[in-house]
Amino acid sequence: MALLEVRGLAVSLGGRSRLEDLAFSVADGEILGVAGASGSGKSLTALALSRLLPASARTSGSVRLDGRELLELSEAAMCEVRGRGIGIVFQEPATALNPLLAIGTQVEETVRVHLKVSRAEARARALATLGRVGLDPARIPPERYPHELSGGQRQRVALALAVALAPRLLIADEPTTALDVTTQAQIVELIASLAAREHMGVMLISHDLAMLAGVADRLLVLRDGARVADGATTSLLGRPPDPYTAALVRAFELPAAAAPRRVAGEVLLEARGIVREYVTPRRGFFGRAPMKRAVDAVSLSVRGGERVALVGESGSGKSTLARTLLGLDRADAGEVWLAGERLLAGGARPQRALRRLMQAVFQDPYGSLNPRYRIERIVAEPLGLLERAPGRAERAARVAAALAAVGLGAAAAGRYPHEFSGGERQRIAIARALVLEPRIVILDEPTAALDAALRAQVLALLGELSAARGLAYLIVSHDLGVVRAVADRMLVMQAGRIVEEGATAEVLSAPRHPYTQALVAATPSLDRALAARRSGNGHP
Amino acid sequence: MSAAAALRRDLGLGLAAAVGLAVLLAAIASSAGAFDAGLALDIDARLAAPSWLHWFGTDALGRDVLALVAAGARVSVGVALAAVATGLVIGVPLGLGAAVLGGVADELASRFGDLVFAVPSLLLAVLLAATLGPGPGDAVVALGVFNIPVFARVARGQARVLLGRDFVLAARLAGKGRLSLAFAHLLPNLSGGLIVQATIQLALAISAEAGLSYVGLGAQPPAPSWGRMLSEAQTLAAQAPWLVWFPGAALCLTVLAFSVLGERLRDHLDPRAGG
Repeated sequence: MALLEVRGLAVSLGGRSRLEDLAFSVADGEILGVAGASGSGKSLTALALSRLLPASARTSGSVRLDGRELLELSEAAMCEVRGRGIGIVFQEPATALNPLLAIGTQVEETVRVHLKVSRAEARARALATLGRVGLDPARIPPERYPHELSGGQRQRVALALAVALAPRLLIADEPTTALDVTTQAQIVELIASLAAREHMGVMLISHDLAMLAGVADRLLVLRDGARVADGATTSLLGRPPDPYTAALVRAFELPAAAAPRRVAGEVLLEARGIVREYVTPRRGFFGRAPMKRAVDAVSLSVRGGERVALVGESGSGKSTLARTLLGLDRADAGEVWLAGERLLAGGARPQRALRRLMQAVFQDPYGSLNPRYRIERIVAEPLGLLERAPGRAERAARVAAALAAVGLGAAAAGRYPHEFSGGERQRIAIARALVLEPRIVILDEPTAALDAALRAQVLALLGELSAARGLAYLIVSHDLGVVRAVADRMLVMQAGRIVEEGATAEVLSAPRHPYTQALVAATPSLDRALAARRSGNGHP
Repeated sequence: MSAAAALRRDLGLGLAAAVGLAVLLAAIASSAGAFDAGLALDIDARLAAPSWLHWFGTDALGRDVLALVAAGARVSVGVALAAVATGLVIGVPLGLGAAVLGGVADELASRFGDLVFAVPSLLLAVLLAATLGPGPGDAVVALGVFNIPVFARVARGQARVLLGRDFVLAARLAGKGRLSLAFAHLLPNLSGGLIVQATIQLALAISAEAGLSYVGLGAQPPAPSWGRMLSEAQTLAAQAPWLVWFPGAALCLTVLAFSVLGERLRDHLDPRAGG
């Protein structure tokens, strides 16, 4: 008998059906990958199984864990199941932990809530659990607080909380999405080894097909709350049985940039020895606040029509550098030159003509559009940089042209941001960047908040726009797939310095700096993962 | 959909609008002297229980409580609205300016707020009364000054959160100066929180006016206010409980109506709520 047996699971929220007739199972020690676009019902399934949905949700069907029907249990009995029967890890480790409790104490509390054991015994068990997730108490003291740990270590603590009571089933909902590439690989490996060692069933929810290809035994593909495909990972991804799964796979494997350009034009944007320092929190009550160099003497240049990527992990200083290049932050030292003129930080007014040449697209399409404005006003905003404000008709025409360039109809202009999906919002943000017809656009993680299918669409759009208009890009990203798809040249940044630089294809195929090598090796590739699985050494 | 149909569809809003309208009419009517007959002293009818002649009963001086409640609306609601408006008009630009300018300006505005909070509004009202002579104007100024840092803090806090959002960066790239950033981008996004805070402050101001009247610093006798009616009723509450019921109910209903209306206004201004 399977460990988890789901039959005819249906969920409706606010009168709308969100999951329909879902059936699947997870065996002892098996890793079931759950894939699908955002909004397909992946997370909803996890919440429905653990009965964590809001009270207004209607759930029907059958969920059996070790033969016990969960949907009929009382809330008190269910509390017992969560923890001892089912362990859960969510996406964001920063919010899953209590910031005021030391990590050892947090795990200890979890043990004491569920088991009637003495404090000493709970402590011993907590320390053993931290050891199981690779936080050896001898190296990482359990007296540390969450803010003293890295993102990966915090996710390990979250994992320790989930497995402290040796649950039969572990549900991991996008456990690596908030982490850097090199850390992602380690966390996935840890989950796989826990499953194998402790005969724990795992439901691993992710939009990252390459990651799933590496560890999942079977795969469940969801679309709009219904099952599209279900089967062994290698055969399902190697030869997708249905058009939807095939499209997911295609969207995930981004093509390399069409004919990388060797641009010989004049230098458009140049940074000379940029330094940016921050005050870090003071140590102790009387200690002096030390300074941290976020950007350490960086120089770079982008030529007209060239597409350059700036790659690095979170905290490497790449976003700070991008803001300084845009003139939003003042550099502590160094200069930014745009089209042969020095760009001054601060107010854009005095250098309007220069500012018109450079625009930006930001990471979060939910935060980058003012929720109180209609799209027309949002897209038209940069027109304020013109010497003379355009008339109403000209303004509408320019907004419509910009919206058309990103594939949105003129009707969009009269609507508000919340009426659009994440992918459409990012198109609107791109339209805003294009309305002045700039020569260079700086994009800060333009696809990080989008799922694979939308990411592929936005990247294709960026490729078309640069080809049609000779637009130069500086793309800040941590995703090497994105970099490969759009950049002619790439710069690798680590701890505030640029450590490697070269043509994208060359750097990716033969990285020289150890950091770039680690980055390339850790980047999940669907083809590589599948090949490894077929030769039988993919599963740790 | 017509306004009347909207009111029928939504009972809460309809009642709130009715209370608001009644308070407004009472204030206007009392300025026109409509209640003067009821406010006349009538020693024979002192402390009469509610009856057909005096619906809300009479007070210790034989004045009609219904007339007192209606006439009191002018001072109570007028002082509260004026005090909150003062806080909004001065406090919000102050808080927005502090958030957008940062540095020394922020420090000065915040310390000014701390200073005002440290001076009780009662003390301020005493000082004003000593220089200007007592009257409802003192209450408005004293409560208004007290409201300035309240709104300044709400505006500053929310504005600082919004300043970290990417749409603010996009606006700066589009050449927006600090002032237009504050008023064109931040203010519309602050309105929800400010409206909610304003309804809370209105309720507080109505009761604070009562406190000031009690010590003789607000409305001067015989001008009635709900606060003074409540404080005068204290010693008589056991004999004549209607002296507490009616001004108390008027105060509660008005505060409730303000918060319903404020909530609707907030939803109406937010495109996401579909209002």
